[in-house]
Amino acid sequence: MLQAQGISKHFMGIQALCDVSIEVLGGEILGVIGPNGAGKTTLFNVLTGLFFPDTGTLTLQGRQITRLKPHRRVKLGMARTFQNLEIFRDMSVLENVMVGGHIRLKAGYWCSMLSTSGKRCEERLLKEEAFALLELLGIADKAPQPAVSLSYGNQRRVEIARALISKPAIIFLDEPAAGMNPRETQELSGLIARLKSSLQLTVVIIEHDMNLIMDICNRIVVMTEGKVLMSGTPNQIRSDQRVLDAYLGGDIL
Amino acid sequence: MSVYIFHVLIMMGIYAILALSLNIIVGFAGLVSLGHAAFFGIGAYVSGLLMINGLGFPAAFFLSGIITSLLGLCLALPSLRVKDDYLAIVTLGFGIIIGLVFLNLEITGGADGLVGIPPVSLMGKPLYSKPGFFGLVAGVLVVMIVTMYTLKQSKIGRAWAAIRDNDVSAAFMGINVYGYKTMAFITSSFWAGLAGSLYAHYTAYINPHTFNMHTSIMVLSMVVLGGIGSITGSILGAVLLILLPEILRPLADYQDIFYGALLVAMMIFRPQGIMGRVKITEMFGRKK
Ligand SMILES: Nc1ncnc2c1ncn2[C@@H]1O[C@H](COP(=O)(O)OP(=O)(O)O)[C@@H](O)[C@H]1O
Ligand SMILES: [Mg+2]
Repeated sequence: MLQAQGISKHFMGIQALCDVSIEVLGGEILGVIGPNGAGKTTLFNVLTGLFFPDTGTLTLQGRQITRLKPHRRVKLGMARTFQNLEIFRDMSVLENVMVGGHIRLKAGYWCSMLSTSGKRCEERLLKEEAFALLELLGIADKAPQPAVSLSYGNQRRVEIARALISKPAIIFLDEPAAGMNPRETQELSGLIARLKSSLQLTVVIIEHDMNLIMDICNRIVVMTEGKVLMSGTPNQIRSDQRVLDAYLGGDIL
Repeated sequence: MSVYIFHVLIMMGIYAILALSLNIIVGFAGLVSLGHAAFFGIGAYVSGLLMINGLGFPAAFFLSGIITSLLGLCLALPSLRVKDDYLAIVTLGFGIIIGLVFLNLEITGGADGLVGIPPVSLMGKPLYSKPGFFGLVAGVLVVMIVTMYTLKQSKIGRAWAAIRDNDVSAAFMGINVYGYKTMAFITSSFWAGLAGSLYAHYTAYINPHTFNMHTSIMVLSMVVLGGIGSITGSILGAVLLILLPEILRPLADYQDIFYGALLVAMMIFRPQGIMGRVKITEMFGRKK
């Protein structure tokens, strides 16, 4: 599905990523874990096009995308959420999700200006779909509210709905459970697993909640200091001494 | 007396079109433009010159919009690549350069300006009556308001709002940020050009002085006063800032001081503008 080969990225002296190679397989849930500052978010930023890598190549379904702009990658079926909530602050919850469906709307400039029946029809369908997604995420009752009035947990749900409405083939979730309590986290992990099978999604997820990661991931990549420490199945990761060391005997199971 | 009232109404209408057009850049897409009078001027000179050289009114009118929007495109392509702070400087520079072009070209009549611009003619008959001309301005204004509402209500309006709000996440919604910013400039300059055309044929005489920095700032003040992003706000802003100098004519010497104080007061007491985020439909009834 998606291959990253020898990706490096530095910021003014900080080597955030150093020769990282990963492969995401179609239809899997791939977990990315590692201590803070390991370069997980930077990896997402490179994969989704916010930054271009200093070296290395990216291939999406056989297509070179190394220096493709983010909006082009969305059209190829990529969507993401953000660790530091990047919700549209002036918009309602529903409007936020509708913006996520931008590429699904066919009406161009003139049809939009003249408000043709085709344009109104596709808008209505998109709005229904947005409601359905909000329903799925359990926040349909908040649709007309300003998105910023929601709790962090709910803003993360809005971001997930906003990403899903573009009908992505691959979705990147950066700490989607941050700000959620254990019960909510569990609901989310069930939801991600269900979405993956019902929408045939490929999911790449960064998360610190090890229960969620161990529950739903098919494979896990462990990062430290800008490098891939190891990758494997949840069971392999759980029992690996290097991973335990990297977490300094921390919270990993 | 009624001639005078229609004169004021016509000016309000033309400046409302101009303020609304700037609002597309500033309010809808969240960009800055400090040289908007340049587009107003280009529309005026193009339309004036086309009609002096024998073209009919509707043709000169539409061509002025199209040619102005092409210049908007020429400004947008290089300057929207730079960051927002630079955009302010680039548009300011554009305004100054275009002003100098009007002043120094032979074809624009230099400092003397363009004299003897033919009046608007509809179906072969020149339109001299002020109420008639006001009808034309009002018609253009209504068409503009309707298209601005429909655009605002469409994926284009949402894309602009997304860019204004957060252009990084806008790009991750699949929005071509650069393309949509350019589209805002083209749309805006088109309408500013039409406003210029109406102005030229109404006054029959234009000179570079009308299209200088002062006008750019005044139009920006209309947008800010009414409420950035608000359609009714821009119209209200234009109405008020055209009306005030008429009322304050005895105090003409202090007019600029008054403008300045007004803007400072707005920034302090109601930075969202008079209309702010209130929709006009919500002002009546439905109050929670
Ligand atoms: N935009 C940026 N500018 C400068 N430094 C950055 C930027 N993004 C990330 N970094 C640095 O790169 C390193 C990795 O950060 P990040 O990818 O956010 O880690 P993680 O998501 O694993 O916690 C950190 O040292 C961080 O300070
Ligand atoms: Mg991170």
